[in-house]
Amino acid sequence: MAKKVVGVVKLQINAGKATPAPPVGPALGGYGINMMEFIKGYNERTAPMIGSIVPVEITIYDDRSFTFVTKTPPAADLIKKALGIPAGSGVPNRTKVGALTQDQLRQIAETKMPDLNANDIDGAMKVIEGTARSMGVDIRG
Amino acid sequence: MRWAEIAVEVSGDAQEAVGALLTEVAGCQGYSAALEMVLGYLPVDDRLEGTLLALRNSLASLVDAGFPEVVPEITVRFVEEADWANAWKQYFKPQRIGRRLVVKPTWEAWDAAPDDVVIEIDPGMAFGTGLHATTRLCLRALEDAVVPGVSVADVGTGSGILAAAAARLGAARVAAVDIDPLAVRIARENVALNHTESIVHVAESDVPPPGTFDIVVANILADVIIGMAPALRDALRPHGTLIASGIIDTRAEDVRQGLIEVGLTIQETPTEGEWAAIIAQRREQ
Repeated sequence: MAKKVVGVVKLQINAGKATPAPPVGPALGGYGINMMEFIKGYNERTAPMIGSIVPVEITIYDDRSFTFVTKTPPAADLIKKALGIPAGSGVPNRTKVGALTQDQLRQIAETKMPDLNANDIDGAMKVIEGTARSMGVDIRG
Repeated sequence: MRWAEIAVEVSGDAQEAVGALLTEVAGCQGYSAALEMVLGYLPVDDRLEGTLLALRNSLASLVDAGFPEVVPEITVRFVEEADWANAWKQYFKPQRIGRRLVVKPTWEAWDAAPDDVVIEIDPGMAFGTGLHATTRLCLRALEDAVVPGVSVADVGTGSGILAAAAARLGAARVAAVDIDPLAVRIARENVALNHTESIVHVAESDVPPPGTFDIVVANILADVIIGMAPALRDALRPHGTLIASGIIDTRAEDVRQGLIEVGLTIQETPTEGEWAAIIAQRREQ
């Protein structure tokens, strides 16, 4: 059915563990959509990815119905997985928690490419590099 | 419970880096992103001040890390815990459509008049709640067209609301299809909710159901209806009625032409707002 889009909400939440608590509740509450239906659908679809953050984009229509698509995991998640570290650094300028190789950087950039605004792989690598540095991760080479 | 809503003004690819700080540094359970804003939430407790301080420092370091566009400022607003999970229900009220049809969400009461045909709906994912103009146009047209004993095909059934309505209005047999397996599941739920499962059969398909019908309803989109026009015609018995909907007013003429080209006779083009439905008849063979 043809419908008009009244809102697009982007959320980054834990796979399989969405609840009506923030950020989901306040982000979707104002649109008057059946939130439990979204939560059920999201948790169902992301159950195999529990332990990762799986971003989701929810499109809301003028009859208060909605659709959603899941996106690639956030760069910070991919960086932590690549390095096998549990968390980034709270003081990234002073405390370094690891270093990515150029190959790892490129691989993450390729994974993230579909969801970035960057025009090419070099641009995408710059974005990932920035995220890495902001969490106390250096780039080797 | 009170929550601190932490807002950082940022757009584009830097949003994710800021979001990572909200979850990593501040410990937010995820975040939401709007066009030029990232929002995270934390419970209000005595750790909040310290967390916000750490967050400001981390934001400042983002600028050196390769995101010079980030302004290391945060805005905090306090929000009260609300029943977010059920807030949406206030928007769905019973609605009379046409003369006899009433569409009502399952949790609302309705004092039905003897002639009322009440359709129960549990509004969920993507599809028809009866609140959209295109669905209302179809419901009104069905009310006019369905007489006891007819057969109906519902192409692109979505929530199943039209199929259930056709059955409740007296159709003897309703075949509903949708291209989306999720819609098929929800349609079956709504069909059962209205105790019409012995009349309505829902299947996953991108073409009209096999056989011919007295009434074919297709609440989809202008281009889909034009592309499907020959198949929709073939699904009609001679003198059968097609109800085509989901048509934005600027495309109504194209759809009318498309239907005329496959030999259908246009009878009526009811509109609501910027939406049109086209009611057409198959002539005798």
